[in-house]
Amino acid sequence: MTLALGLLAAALLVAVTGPHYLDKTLSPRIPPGLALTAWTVSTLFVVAAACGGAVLLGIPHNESVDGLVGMANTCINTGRYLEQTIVRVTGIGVVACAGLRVLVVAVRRSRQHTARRDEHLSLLRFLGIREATDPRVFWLPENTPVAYSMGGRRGTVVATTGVTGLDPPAREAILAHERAHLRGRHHELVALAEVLAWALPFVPLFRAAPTAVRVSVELAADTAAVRVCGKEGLRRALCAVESHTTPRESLAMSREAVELRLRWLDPARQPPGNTLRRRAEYLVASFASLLPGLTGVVLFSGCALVGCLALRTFG
Amino acid sequence: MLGLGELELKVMNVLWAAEKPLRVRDVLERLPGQRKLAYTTVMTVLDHLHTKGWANRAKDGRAYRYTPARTREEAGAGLIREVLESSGDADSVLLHFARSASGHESRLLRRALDRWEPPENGS
Repeated sequence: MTLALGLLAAALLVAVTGPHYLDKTLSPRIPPGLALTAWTVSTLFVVAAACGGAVLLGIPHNESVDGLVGMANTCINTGRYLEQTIVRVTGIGVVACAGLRVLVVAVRRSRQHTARRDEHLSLLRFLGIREATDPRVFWLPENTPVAYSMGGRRGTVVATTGVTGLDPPAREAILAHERAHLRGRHHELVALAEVLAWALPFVPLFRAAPTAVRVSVELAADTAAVRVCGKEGLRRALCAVESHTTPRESLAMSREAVELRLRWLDPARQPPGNTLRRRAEYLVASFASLLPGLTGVVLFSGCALVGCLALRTFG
Repeated sequence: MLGLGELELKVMNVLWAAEKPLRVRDVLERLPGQRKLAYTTVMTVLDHLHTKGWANRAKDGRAYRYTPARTREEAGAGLIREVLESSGDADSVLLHFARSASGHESRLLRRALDRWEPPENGS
């Protein structure tokens, strides 16, 4: 039971302290893709550790699992049956309730999203023109330069013909930005963060994740666009699109968002162009994001061991 | 979106492609698809499109002849307007190129930037 409780403790540790250290990953020094990885991996770790812990608690005679790390005979496993049962039932119950809530929210939201996406796609099929060279791109006849992307199995980029009127680097920057959203599965990452935040808003990590993930996906797509057509291309694209603000939003808000993104571009460390190096960075970032959680498991097991030894010596 | 269903869109598509006003029978003949729709179904759809302001009709003998009230381009512009209006919502179906950041997002960005380059006035 030590490992099971260790996993639950680690999930709790990352869920509570995560926002504090993950906040630091959002910095012009760090490629935004890595910040996105850190937030996503930490979120997934919390989910996986909580589920793993609950499953382990549910396995009868799970001391053998602790035996893998030589802790089969700690006092946690040899304690009284009643206490053990209370711990097990509580642990499994809490995780099961949380899991059920996430599942309900996820199913409801996924149904809504699929319906909206299908409706939107059928409108695009009739109103837009599909690009011959890239069937994922639709063009809509409209003078205002607007571009957006839609996730899902049939990821789609939509741009108005107003975008074709921009100068070539700006146009390419917009398309590269939207394609980066599809390639990076950004819609799904935002959806994951939002589902967890809606289902369990009292968990600090889940509450903070949607904002951080939304900001990171935009900055990551900006970085990808800069790789394709340079900072100047993206700068011109942002300025051109910003001037067409929407009726529901104030001009000041939209201007501020663009201004912040432009400021971000200036000091940004040039991301490595080499794909292999970028992959290596993502791997390191994923592993680094797991460290706090793994440390939590080890710390808990260590404390359990020390506690049991102390009990045996002085008890 | 736009208040048009899949079938209504298909009928509008026929009206947009036609050079002259069409009767219900003409629309039925021009509708693509293996499954032939009932005459009354197409008539109802055209009637709805007229009520919603998507199609105009004029009496021709005992039947109506229909023409689109809005062009395909106008419909496209309407779709874009809807997308722009909804782009402020916290919704991950669409990611908009220049979506204005929410207050939380702006604060997060500004804080990270200020950590990197402290504000000059020291505030």
